[in-house]
Amino acid sequence: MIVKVLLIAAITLLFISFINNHSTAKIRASKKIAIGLLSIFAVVTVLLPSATNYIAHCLGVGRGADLLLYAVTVSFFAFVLNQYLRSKQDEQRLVKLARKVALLEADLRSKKK
Amino acid sequence: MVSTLKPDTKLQAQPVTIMIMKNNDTAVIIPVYNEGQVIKKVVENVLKTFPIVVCVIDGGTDNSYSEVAKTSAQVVEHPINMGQGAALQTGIEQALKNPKINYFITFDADGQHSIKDAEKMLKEIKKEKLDVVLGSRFLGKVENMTIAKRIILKMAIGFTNVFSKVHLTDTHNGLRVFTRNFAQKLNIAAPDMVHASEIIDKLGKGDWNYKEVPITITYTDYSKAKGQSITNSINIVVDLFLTKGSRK
Repeated sequence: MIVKVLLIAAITLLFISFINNHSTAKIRASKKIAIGLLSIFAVVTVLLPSATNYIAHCLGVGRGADLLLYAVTVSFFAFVLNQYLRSKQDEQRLVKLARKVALLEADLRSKKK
Repeated sequence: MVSTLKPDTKLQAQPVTIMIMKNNDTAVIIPVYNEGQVIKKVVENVLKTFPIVVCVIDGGTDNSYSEVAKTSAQVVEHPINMGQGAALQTGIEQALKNPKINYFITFDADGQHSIKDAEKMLKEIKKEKLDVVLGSRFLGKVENMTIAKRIILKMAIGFTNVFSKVHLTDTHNGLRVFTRNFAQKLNIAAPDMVHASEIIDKLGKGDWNYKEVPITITYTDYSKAKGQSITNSINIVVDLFLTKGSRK
């Protein structure tokens, strides 16, 4: 029982902190909805573990726990890919910024001469 | 005494002015990363033939910057290390600021390329009205290349040729000559060594006239110690796979 309380508290906290984080304005609405649905799903699985079994049977998976493992695996890969693409994008932005600084500095130096 | 000296100095001055006038439509771009030991010598050597040299100091921890600053080359300094591809693009953008520059030469900082080859390639691009002339080690002479390096390079060449439409004998060569038009369209995005494949890729996609010219590369002990290690070459091959996969 204690586990359930702790898990639900953790999920709620994560969800609230995600929604309240205004600095991540770039997060798309679709991602916000996805996180919302994921949170609801997480709470449901904590309260009614048998529900995952039911869904698993419908999908042709033996146990609910297996289904959860598959879901976690897929979302982990999605997360890694997302982070990878993000870091590539950041790298490009950093390169452009640093290049601009370098070229401006070179201009300043040549004007001083 | 004075009368004989005057025409003499004029005679001596003439070839010098011709030398300076020559190649002032060409910028030599040299990406520099921790090459303090040799860079001054290399740059001075290039300046004898090509008066406009742009050195891009790509971060680094040694005295490369102050060494280049002693010469008359333009210096652009990256505040952080970003890779050779990024340095080349910065150099190209710096050279593009000068509207008189019509030809761009990329040249390695470790002195493994020869000025004579660069001149030969420049002549070729002008004579045949090409967009790009690439140097090829395997058409020319290779001095002191290790067998392992040769195998890895051949693999990289094979992959690049399979994936891009062009067919070249050497895809990862630092000595290239290209026109202003190509320089404006190039826009190298790969910051690291993958830029070599990226340039070939762009070459294959556009309607460019290009040619390979045999060149001689001298692998000195210095360039061997500095240059691409075998693990780095494997990285190039792996990256080629990955970038090709993500682009499709």
